Amino acid sequence: MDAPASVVSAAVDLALDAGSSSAEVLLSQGTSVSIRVFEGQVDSLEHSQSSGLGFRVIVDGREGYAHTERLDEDGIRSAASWAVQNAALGREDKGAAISDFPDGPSIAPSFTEELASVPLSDKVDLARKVEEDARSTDPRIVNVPHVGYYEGDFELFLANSAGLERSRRANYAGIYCVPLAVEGDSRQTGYKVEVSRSFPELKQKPVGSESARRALDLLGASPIDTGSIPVVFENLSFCDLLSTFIGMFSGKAAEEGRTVLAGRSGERIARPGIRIIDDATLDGGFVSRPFDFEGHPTSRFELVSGGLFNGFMHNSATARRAGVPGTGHAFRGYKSPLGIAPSNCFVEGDSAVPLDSFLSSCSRALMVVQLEGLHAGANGLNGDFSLGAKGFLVENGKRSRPVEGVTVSGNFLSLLDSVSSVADDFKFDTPGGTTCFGAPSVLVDGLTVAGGS
Amino acid sequence: MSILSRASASAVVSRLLQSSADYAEIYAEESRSRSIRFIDRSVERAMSGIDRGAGVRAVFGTNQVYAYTSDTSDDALMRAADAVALAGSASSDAPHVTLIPVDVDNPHVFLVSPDDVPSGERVDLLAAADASARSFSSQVSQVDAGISETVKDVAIANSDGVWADDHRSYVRLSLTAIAQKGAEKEHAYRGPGAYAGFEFIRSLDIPSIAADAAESAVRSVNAGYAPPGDMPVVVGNGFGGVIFHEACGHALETTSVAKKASVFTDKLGLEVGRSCLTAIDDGTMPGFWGSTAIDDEGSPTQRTVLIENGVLKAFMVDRLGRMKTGHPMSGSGRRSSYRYPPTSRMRNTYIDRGDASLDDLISSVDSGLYALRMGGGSVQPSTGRFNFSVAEGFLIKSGRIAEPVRGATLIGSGPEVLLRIARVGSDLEHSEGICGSVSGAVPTTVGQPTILVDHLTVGGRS
Repeated sequence: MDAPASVVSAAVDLALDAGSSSAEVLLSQGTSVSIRVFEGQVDSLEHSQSSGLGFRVIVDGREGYAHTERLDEDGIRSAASWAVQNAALGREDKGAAISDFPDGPSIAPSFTEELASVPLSDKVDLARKVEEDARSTDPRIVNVPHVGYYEGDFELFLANSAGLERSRRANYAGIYCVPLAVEGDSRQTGYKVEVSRSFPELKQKPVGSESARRALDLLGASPIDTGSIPVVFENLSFCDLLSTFIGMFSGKAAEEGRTVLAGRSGERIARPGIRIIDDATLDGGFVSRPFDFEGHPTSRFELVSGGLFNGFMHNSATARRAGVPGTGHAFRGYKSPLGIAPSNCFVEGDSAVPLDSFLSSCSRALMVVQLEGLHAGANGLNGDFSLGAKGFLVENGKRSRPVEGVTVSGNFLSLLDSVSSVADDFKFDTPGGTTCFGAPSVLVDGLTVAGGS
Repeated sequence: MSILSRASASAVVSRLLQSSADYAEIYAEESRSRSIRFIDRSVERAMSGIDRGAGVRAVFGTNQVYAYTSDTSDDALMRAADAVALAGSASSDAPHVTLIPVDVDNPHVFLVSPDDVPSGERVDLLAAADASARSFSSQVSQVDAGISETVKDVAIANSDGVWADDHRSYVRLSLTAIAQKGAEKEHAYRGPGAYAGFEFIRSLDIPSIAADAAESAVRSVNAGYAPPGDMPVVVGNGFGGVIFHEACGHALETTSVAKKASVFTDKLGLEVGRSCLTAIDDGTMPGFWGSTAIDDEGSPTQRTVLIENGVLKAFMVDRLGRMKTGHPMSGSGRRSSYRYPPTSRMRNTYIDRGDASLDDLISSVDSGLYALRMGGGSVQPSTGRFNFSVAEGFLIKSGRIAEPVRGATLIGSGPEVLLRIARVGSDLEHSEGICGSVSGAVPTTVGQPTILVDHLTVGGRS
């Protein structure tokens, strides 16, 4: 294959030759390594090297898509003609356009050579050490069903018929561990993952022992009585809620009538001290990017600030249809149509206090450390949720016993308006694809918790 | 085969054996896909594309090393083989392997290639579905319909000398009708598919399927909520088999059996259900969505009786699963694409037919739930505990089907429910789905006749 930058610009010409009025070409390529260990042995090792090219073309105001993993000229030429044929079937799309955009902001690079040069044996050793750390934490850790190392290195090339040409590259590495703790009839797993762009930094993360501790702490968990009770969502649990409901803030959901936030820009939806921010320019952010997937520049975007809902995330098409400026949230892969996605998306509060100090203010509360059933038990249309939870009962300011077998119910928007304390333990979750969520632990006034069976 | 030459396949297998691999394999694939989505009374999007790549696998002892590449040039394949070989140690007396074409009985016939179908025909079929659903009732507020087609060529070579190829064709209609009453919305889904050419889509009575979905959605939005409690449940045929698939089937794959994570690990030859229960996983059924002539490791697919008259007979076993557990391979090695190493997966899985009529089953219940159509759900793998929503349900009162209810969920554990299946109907049906697991998303069917479960926890709203 020729250099990717010349492949994408040649592909734009092929799409115009095939009959497009305008054309956009996206090429992504990457490599990855994943190592799983079991009882000190490499149980599985995977390498990958892949690339693919996708067309988005506009013919007479109609949008068409096609992709190919055959990157020779024949493969690309065929895909270009399919895209044009597909466009002919579609309806006229009032907002679709392919444009040149100004350069994005200057941000710190998301790629480090250092990671790319670590030998495989060091990565295997690290995965083994994480497993060993988990096992040696306590004799009640009987097994570590999932533990390993993974890394990825991805490059994106974008070009269009309006003259836009962009590329970027990112890499990262991570370790994860899920130990199983058993005592009597109680079986509990813990989960911990860390991601970094520095191998020495990754090696310092106590993933094995912390995941083991999280499993051990839940041993002997039992339900609590049904009722309304203040709930503390531990940082990563709150990240789970944010990721489940972020679709409510999508401009595409708004125009399709799939979010109750439609038409509510400028309204108060949260406590004044709470902000929800999506910042693609964040220094050191795992998914920071100066431009989005159609080349639109990105920025720090406050979805919610001062308690007010400021507006939706948009790509250029949804923004045009809504009559607002684009926000740089276009997302697509080479096989997927133009959509919307956040980047580094997080919640922060004005006045953060240590977690212990706000626990100590609770006479009785439920602290949630794991949520279950996020796909089945959450309504992305209106924010309602009813989710299985594990965690701890907090009594007289202290964690008194582990809890499982309970369901926590509420509404994400009401919850934003009933946050009474924010802890100083802000944490980003692991990046999933092109998005990474972050949150501190928060205390929420009263939610319905159903326990027993 | 255009996607992989026997010479390159042979070179890769030899390279892996020189690293003292106990098993070596290459899988190459080219897949052409097309999809069209019709919503808001018009085509929202048409997409098509071609995926191509290869995966190289070696097993050392029971440890698996895999590399894949979307570049299928000889150089790229050899780089992938070199990356895998790094995990082994150089062997001077590597066996020589001669690749011999596998002769497989292939009962599947594809008559009409999607390439030969005029695009306008798909649009017309979907427009007819839309019109039919909307004309059923003014409460039908939206119709979301689509047709997807994938034609796939695979080639597989391994260190047993297997040299196999397969030409595959999948077509599917998907249709969701949404009914609205005030601010409330309910939907109903139908998704018939086949391992066939476009003739399957042409054979469907699409307006009737659309009207049927519309009827279900309208019934749901007008229904009251199901009452909670423990009660006898009659589970409808077809997609009702999803409970067996999720809560039992996955635990019968060697992926979980080998890790001793399955509740069935040590139960071969033992009673896991009553004598009325026979369950089968069959990859050979002609034209069925979960069928193929060979699996993705080059073994001919088989019919595997999992449970016979209540007794556990067999697991679903891929090659690595055999190496780990010693159970014979069942042609169950499957993968979504070259991006995944294969593992043991279900194909067309079903509870076999019994002799009861629907009337027999309903009339034996004084007060309970008839879960005509199941929706989605989740299962906790280590315990088999599940939670499924009932997409379309009715109360049973005094042995008769009474009013429709919505919002019901079925809660229980797979192994417990097997023992509570009291009677099995004769109306066996199959229903197509996409199963996601460690080796990606693969087409499977679930199936069963209508069955009577003595009692189950029904979650509902009082």
